[in-house]
Amino acid sequence: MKPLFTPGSIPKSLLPMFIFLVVTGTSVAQKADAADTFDITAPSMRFPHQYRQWGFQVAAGLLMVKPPMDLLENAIQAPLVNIHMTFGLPWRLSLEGDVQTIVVSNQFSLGPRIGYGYRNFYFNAGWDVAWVYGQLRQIGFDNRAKVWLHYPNLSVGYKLKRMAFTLRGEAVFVAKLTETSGGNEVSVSRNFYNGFTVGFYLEQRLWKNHVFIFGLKDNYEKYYWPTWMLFTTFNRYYHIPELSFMWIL
Amino acid sequence: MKIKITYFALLFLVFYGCNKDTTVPIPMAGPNSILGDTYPLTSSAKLLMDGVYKVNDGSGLFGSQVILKWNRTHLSIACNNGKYFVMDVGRLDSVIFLQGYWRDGYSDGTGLASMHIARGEGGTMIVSGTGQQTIVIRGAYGQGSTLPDQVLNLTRLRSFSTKAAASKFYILAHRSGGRTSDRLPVSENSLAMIGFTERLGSTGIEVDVRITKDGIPFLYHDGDLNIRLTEKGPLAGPAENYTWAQLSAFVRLIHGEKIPTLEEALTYTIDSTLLNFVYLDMKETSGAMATVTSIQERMLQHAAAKGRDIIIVVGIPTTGALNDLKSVPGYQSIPSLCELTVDDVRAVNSMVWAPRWTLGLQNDLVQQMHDEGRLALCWTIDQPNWIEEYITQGHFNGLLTNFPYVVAYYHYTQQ
Repeated sequence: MKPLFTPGSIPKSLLPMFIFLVVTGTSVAQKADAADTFDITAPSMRFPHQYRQWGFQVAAGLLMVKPPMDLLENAIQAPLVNIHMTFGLPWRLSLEGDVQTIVVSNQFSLGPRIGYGYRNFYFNAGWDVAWVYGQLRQIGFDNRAKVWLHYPNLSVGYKLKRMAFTLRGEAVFVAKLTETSGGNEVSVSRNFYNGFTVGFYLEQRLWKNHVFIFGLKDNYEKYYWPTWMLFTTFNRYYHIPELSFMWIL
Repeated sequence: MKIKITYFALLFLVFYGCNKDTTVPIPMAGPNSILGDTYPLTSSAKLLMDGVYKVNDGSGLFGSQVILKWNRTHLSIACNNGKYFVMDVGRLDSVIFLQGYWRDGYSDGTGLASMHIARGEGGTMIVSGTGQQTIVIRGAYGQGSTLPDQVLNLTRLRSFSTKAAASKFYILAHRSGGRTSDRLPVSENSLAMIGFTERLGSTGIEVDVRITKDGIPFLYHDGDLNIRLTEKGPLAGPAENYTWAQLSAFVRLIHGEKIPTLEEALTYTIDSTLLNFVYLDMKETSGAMATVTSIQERMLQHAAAKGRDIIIVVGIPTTGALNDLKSVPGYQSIPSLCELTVDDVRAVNSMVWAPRWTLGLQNDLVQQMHDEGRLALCWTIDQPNWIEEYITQGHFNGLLTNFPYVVAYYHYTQQ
């Protein structure tokens, strides 16, 4: 009775391929020419450096999520498509935008960052505001969700010449959550602390100026927006791991 | 290179290894519980305890009002916010002792509860069946595994209204009484859950029916054997790919129970519980309707022989199932529950119409069903505000829910 869509992982058989790609790519990258002037700082996106003024950069990739078994049940699984954008501003500021989608659930976020660096260590702080819109009108369902979220966040990073490591934490606050089914408001919630996330990102040059981002993130949350269509009534925190593979375009 | 491979392998393990769900443990009073020295209450004494109570102390956690309702084995207390108590009760002389636990059905909150009713505060009246005393229940509750140390006092306000007590309203619990994801101590779609669910306020159940490779109907929800519902074992993939002998030998549900056959489940329901409604939710059992309905017919005869007033309906969730039912000779006399349109209900002469709750109250159509001598239920409604609205504003004969204690609260508090 619950034929619902939720995000999930791509087939596990593809995971070894991704890992192979990262490992072999890393190996190739380390054989770079000694005269190479490449510096991971410039093309990196998750790394919390001060982005070049008026510069614009985009990364795209897939997020693989493993929702908790309490929620998942017989749900159809699909990876989330993720597009991440950075726009450099004056005074150590930058603007970051992010789009995540599985068609029936979509999050758009935008927020400023301010960053500092000391030798190979970098730090930034930011505040993202996100809007989620979900719609499921198949197989007899007519469900919708609209959610406003806030993500105050901090990142610290350490870089080598061709590789950057970033640890990022963010708190998650739901400002307003509205879910409807068949035109009925199933739930409306406002202003609650929803949990936090901790993510680790590795940005690695593969060849020339091509950089790959590998991310591992733990969402420790009560309400995980991609699963809105399950209309869960559970008031529990779940660890929801998220693996990301992105390519800086 | 080896270090890098190890590094990524570790990340992979962390990713796939850190999602261990838990069961909420039931706090136990321990071997020194006073209940070991008490005597059970009579049926008439139990009836005197049923009613609507005011929460004098403890309302911060449990709300300002609760209902107490005896079931077959325990006294249950239901709150309007998804919390409930399951209490063992006994008496010593005219003092009544209640010990058990509370649980928050929407989260993992739980704790011990220990209460009593003194002689002069209703104990004498309950035990003797005479006199007029306002029942006052005094005690305490704990959080987690701590001893009860926070005051909980209840005062009886009134009996259940005639509307609530006399109407035959079905409180149907999902997955044979509760989902595994609700972190109950027993597995969904098991005999143990069927025996447990009355403590949650259920008066009926929905069970998920599948068919083995050799044609035996059994209870199981998911499309495949998985570690969400079963212990790790040698079988994988769709359960229907295996014979009953294989499932019975090699599969154990998440709390160790065997998967029951439909016949075992219905026999247990009839013989060992007071549940009065069973909804057989057919899961991809194309062509198996004749097998299931023959078991249904046999079990209804068994119930009649036992004097059990119980409804067993075969579910029609899809047009495929509807056509399957139509292929069975005499299908119009088979008790069925149709989730489709009222025209489909009429086409197969279903006993019950069961629309999805999100379609609204549909009071006009519900009344039409009543006028035709049919029942109307809706599924699967879990939000307290909607449960309240459907009970107070709707005309359904029952609700299918994952939170039967919330439905019980709103049903029994009706004026």
